[in-house]
Amino acid sequence: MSAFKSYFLVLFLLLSGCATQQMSGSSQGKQSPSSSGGMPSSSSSGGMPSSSSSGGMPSSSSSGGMPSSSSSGGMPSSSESTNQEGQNGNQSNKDENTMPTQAGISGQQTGQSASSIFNESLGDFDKEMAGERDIIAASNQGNSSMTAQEIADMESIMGADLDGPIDISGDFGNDESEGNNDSEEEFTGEMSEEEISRLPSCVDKDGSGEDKIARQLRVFAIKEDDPNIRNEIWKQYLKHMGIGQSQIEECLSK
Amino acid sequence: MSIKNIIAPTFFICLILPLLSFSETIKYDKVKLKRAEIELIEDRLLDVGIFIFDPNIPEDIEDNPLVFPEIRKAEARYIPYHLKNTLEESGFWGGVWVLPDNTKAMDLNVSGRIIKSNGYDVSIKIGVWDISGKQWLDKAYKARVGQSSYSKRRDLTQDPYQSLFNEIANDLQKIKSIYLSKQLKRISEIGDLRFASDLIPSVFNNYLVQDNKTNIYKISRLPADDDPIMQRIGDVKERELLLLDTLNEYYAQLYREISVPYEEWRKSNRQNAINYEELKRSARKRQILGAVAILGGIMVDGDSNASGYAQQGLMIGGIQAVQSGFAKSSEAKIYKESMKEGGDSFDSEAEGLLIEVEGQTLRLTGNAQEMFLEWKRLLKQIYTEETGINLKEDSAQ
Repeated sequence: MSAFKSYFLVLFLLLSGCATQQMSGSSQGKQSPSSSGGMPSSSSSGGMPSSSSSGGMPSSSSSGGMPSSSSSGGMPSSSESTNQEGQNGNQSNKDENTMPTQAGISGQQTGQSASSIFNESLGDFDKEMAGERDIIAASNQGNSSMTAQEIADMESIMGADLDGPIDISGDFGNDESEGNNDSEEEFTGEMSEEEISRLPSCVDKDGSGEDKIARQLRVFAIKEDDPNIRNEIWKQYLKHMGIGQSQIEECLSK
Repeated sequence: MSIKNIIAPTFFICLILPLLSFSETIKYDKVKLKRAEIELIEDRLLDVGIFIFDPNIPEDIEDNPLVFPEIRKAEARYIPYHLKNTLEESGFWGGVWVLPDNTKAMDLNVSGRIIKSNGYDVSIKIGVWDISGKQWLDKAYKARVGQSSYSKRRDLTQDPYQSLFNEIANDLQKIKSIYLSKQLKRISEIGDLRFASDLIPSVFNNYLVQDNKTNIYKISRLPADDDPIMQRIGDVKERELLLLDTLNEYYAQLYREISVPYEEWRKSNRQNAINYEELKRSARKRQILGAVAILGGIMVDGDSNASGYAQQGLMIGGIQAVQSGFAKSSEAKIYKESMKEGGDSFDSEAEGLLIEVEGQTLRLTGNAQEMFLEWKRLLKQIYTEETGINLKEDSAQ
């Protein structure tokens, strides 16, 4: 009888040992993360990212058939994955019940990282674009050719009455000019040596032949401390005065 | 004097008189831009994308010496940019961008083709579609530009072609005003879903149905307001708009750099074009007039002194008219040459600016393309991870 009991005991131990080995094997398989979850290699083909064809017209191609694996309600689960390596068998069994596919399980395990990669890449893109815009802004400052619109904007900023005198007394420190309505004469009598040095050789000190816009441009140019911007304003001034491109360059290069 | 002798000169006088009416009254239309008087609610603000225009450069460029390819290419960027400014100024629209290529991030897409632009006459074909695929506009706009449009004393924010820009903007506003706010909102929703469908087609294709006959998209169902994947897609859309903002900075640079020489070219070309057309027309009229007079002289029949004088007078007058016609024609060629010279000069100036902006556009979009492809893959992965639904391979739409 005791031999019979011993036989059952050995048999029970053997069976339970096999079962344990089987369980640990399957658990290990589920926990191994998919190696395909990393950053995909990218290929470039140029053009706008979401573009299909150039040429103005929006694409009106068919949207295709219904995908077989589409979600039913449009509201995917947003449960945060908290799976960690080395979870116990009970947890694995729970996952097996809630996630329908193997891909779902491996996704759950790496979901946090894909999401964070996505968020990080958005941040990187923002930084890249910000850098790009800084470069553009810097190049705009270096090469500040003004449009007619910008000239008009400048005029409105200055708020000067085009029909009235140009009051440059505040900037040029000559209080005597206050109340003097003859603005064209102001230039000759009131400019300091530094201001005169800012005049290109081909520009008359007395501003003869200037219209209202030319006078405005002259004031902007004289006020401008940045030599590049000042040069651009003088260019606009000379263009406005009807001077040819080659003469402008010759004049400003002196 | 026979009746024939009276009828023949009378007939020729009747024929010639209409030709003598040289004077032409030109009406320059001034179209004012309609501006929003109050700030519009968000639902009524559509985002507008204006594609770089089709420069419409003829293949046989040697047969069209007054079409300058680089100027046309520059105009194909300048005109959309100014249209963007005009639409923004009207206050009836959301964001407005110039687009280098197709995108589904816009609610309304504007495309254009330059038919003619010489500083005097401008003609542009405009097509507008909303993102559902419905056509809003398909119209050719024409304008004749007056000398005052180039005046230095004008409002310098206004382009010499401003009336044409205003007309386009006003037409678009008029069409939009027909739509109810909820209809405009629906267009934006279709836009969001088409953008989403571009990123994850296998998920979002079935949110939209496309009519087989009209090809217009309709919404079959909407995602929840707080759908996390839609929120991420919204993040990607924001980046596309950010990219477009940056690209538009480059277009703005080109616009700024080209605006003064372009206006100068248009102004001088306008005067040359007027002179050229006027002389050509005058030459043609003189030649026809001369030919008709010579023909009349031949036909005058009679033995009287009067008919002899009439015949002689018509013949001599006719020959002189034909000769002066040829002289006018030669004079016209001078203006044509002048237009060619001015065009060639600005053409080479524009070329350098275009190369730079095109290079920057290609570099930026090329880099961004890689990022967008990556986001497409990541979004699919996140979707699978969050829903457990394995997405099948998406086929390109």
